[in-house]
Amino acid sequence: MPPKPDSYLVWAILSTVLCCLPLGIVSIVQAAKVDGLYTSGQYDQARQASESAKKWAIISAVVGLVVAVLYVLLVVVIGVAGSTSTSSGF
Amino acid sequence: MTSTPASTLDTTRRGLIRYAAPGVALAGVTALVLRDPHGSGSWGTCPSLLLFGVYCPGCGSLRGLHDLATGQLLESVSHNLILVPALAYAAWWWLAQVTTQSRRPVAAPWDSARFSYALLAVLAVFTVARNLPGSVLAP
Repeated sequence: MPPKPDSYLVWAILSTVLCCLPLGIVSIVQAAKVDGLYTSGQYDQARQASESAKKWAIISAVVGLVVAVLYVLLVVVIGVAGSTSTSSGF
Repeated sequence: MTSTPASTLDTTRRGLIRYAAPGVALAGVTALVLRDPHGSGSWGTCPSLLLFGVYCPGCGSLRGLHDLATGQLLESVSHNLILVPALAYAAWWWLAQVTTQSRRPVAAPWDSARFSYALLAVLAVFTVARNLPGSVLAP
């Protein structure tokens, strides 16, 4: 029995809470698939799901970083921020 | 594929996780302490709130991190209830990663399919609950 492939769930959780909800959800579903396939003995498929989970974790990290950098540039440096009285949503 | 021995890759990966992850976390928290996210537009508005007018499960996490870093646990929880559990999960994962080679390794955090689907359910309930009018879970 091969060792259980990494599900990368920690990255899914971090991307959900710290940046992008849609990508986080896709990553959580991928992580669930890794475990489900592994416990049912489909090791090859589990490894593929793990690769896919890894890919989504990287996509969320990159998207999160790019959005954050663009956003901070726009808001903090150039000052596009709306001057509403409510506090920020983040 | 690659000529790099697996052990070298593992060492690189372990080093990154051991040192770079806490480094990035520390840098982020320092930035949030120096520039308080409570101010309007100080770090911008969450895209989900800006575009759809809806609080996502992550809304309030920057303010929550700031409050946590400055020792205001209750304030932090009031901004985002799931932030502290998420950070605890990440810290647990980090501990498990850095102790795999040690004599007393920490068990890896849960990542079963059941846990993952339960997490999705919790996120769904949390998202709906915090968007109800007058919700205490709102950021």
